[in-house]
Amino acid sequence: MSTNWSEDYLSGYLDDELSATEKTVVEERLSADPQLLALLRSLAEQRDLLRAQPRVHLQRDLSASVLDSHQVSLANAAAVTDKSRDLNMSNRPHRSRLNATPPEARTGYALSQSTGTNIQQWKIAGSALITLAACLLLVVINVSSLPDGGETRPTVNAFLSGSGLVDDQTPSTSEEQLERSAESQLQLVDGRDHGDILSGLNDDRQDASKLAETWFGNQPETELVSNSAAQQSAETQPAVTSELRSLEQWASPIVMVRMNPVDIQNQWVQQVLDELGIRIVGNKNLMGAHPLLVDTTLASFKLMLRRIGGQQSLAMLDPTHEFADLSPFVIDDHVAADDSNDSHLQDGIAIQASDDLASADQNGQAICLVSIELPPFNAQIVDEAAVNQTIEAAVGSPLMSQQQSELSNLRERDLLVEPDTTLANDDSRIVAESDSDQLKPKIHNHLFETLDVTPQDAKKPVRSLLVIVADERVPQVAPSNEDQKNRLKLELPRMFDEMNPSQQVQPKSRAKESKDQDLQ
Amino acid sequence: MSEPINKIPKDEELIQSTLMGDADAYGQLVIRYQQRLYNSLVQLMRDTIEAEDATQEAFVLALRKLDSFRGQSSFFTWLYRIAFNSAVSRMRKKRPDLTSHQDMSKLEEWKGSSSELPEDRLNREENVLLVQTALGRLNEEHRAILVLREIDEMSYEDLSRVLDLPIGTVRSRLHRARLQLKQEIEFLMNHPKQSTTSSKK
Repeated sequence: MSTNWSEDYLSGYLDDELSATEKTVVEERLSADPQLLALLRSLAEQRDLLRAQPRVHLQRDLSASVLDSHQVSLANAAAVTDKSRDLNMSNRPHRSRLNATPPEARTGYALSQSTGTNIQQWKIAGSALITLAACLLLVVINVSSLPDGGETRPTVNAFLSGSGLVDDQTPSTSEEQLERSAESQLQLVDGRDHGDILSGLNDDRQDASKLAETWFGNQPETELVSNSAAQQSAETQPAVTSELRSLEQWASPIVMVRMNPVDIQNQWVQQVLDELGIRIVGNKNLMGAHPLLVDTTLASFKLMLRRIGGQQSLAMLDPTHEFADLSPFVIDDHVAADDSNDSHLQDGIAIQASDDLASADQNGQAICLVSIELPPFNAQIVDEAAVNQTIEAAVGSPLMSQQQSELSNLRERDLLVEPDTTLANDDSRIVAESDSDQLKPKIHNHLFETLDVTPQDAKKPVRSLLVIVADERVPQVAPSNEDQKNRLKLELPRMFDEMNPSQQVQPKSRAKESKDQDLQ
Repeated sequence: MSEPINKIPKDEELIQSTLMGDADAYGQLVIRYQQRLYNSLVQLMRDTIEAEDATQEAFVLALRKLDSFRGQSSFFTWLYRIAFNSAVSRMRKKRPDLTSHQDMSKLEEWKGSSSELPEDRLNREENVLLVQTALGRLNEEHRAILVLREIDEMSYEDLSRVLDLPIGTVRSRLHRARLQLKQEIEFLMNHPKQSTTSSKK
């Protein structure tokens, strides 16, 4: 573990969460720096003050209402399931089944099914949005066998097979794999471009259900979304999705894998990816994000891939050391005054340059992610100076230069909201709420102009994307289960090959591959 | 019942019973953890009604997902992660600047006992007011990690699980949160009137 000094260690020391070496470093600092010692004492006092806060007591027993709510939700889920199946029968010849076990069976409470109502339709839409949003996207890139040129971009339909959005009467191999793996611990999803899904949408309120079904193919959850929220989403969705259809041109090979979140953080997954020559270049937590954020995030990753298309190597970003500050939780929040490495322009363009990226730059490469979001979020936080400072701190990277021009572009388009001194308070980063309605069309225009590619760009090879969807419903792989780990190693290259034969993923170690096959 | 009356079932046993169809077992889990969860969510959400709803919602969601609980962390950590996501979602929908805040310091539950000396009581209530106002001025991210660490006394490992952050980030975020809280408390001490007004955005 690194013993370089960081003031964070002070908190770790206070909480007794440091290694012996780190403790020694801190103690040496404390003995040499009275101000640091004073700060430590001050933080300790503050901690005691917090711990002395009185507890708030709940005045009632929730157990009965929890069990009642559960019963009601199961009844709704049962009705939704019926409705979803109807939708699938009418819209999709083949359905991807990812969770074979219905929730009611899993929790051991059998309930009678109720009839469909308008409310249930809302719940379908709302629950689908939640289902779609409850994912963690890890976008990784296959860099093992990049072609130097030539058109390798596959057609959209290549990824639509099995999605149900096109008339494909033959189950895709990917879907067959999916069916086979439905009961396994590691669940693979048929590859498909997000834009394809969007292209299948219409103004129907059930679109969201289709989205969830095509992405996850399992039972939507209903509890979290109120009718009003679902209605709001259904109202805003059509106008935006019609624009997002233009993303179809961004079709690129996408392989999706569903894994337990714990597994994603585990070392073995990284080892497998590393052996396959798959490098992680982007990581975005979309837990609870608006579906449109999922859409546009994926699009922004593609944009990023386009821009780095000519490069042969990329900085490896630790997937567990994520772009945490890009999480919707933070994006939807105010940037702390001391978060000098991050800047967000909310409700439109989020500009991110984190410590990770700066350190990546030391290795000669840096990736700067432009995350483009859509309303309905409406808070604006801009600290243009900090953005510039961050960008300047990473000079030498062409990507950072692009980011700089991106910023200039935003400024020219009046998308940067200047601080309102009357509301700035003592936190200069907090500025006025902007007029969302006024800003929205600008954001949309900028979004699609940004995503548009030149003909030259379009000819660049687009490498395969692996999207790892974190799903707590997928059982975790036991540490000793080598078969499951090897399965990922074997299945991934095959799925990539099917998506794009010209970009075959080959494990680095042939010996390891042979061993895997033996195990298999 | 052959079991001793005073035997308190472990979480794992209650979870297993729940998965076998025993709803009462889950009811016991709810009773066991509802106060702790509710208290944390009140601190996080700054709204007792929303916190109660979020608490209930978390238990319902946890019940639905119970079969996916692998025992890698404690049940409460797992439950809290669900609750945390639910609370964040609720807070986002109901932005603080668009809703009326409850003044956390005025909660009846936080009043001192009648046996307390008036001076002590006054001091304590002032401290509560100060800390609660300062907490209310933090952004959600910093408030959340402080509540989890200082009030729930979660380890960094559990914080990592709940917040879905690497431990290094937990440490750095926690430190930033502490420094921000320190600044806020100092600001409020220098501007006492601010303690009684609504928190900033």
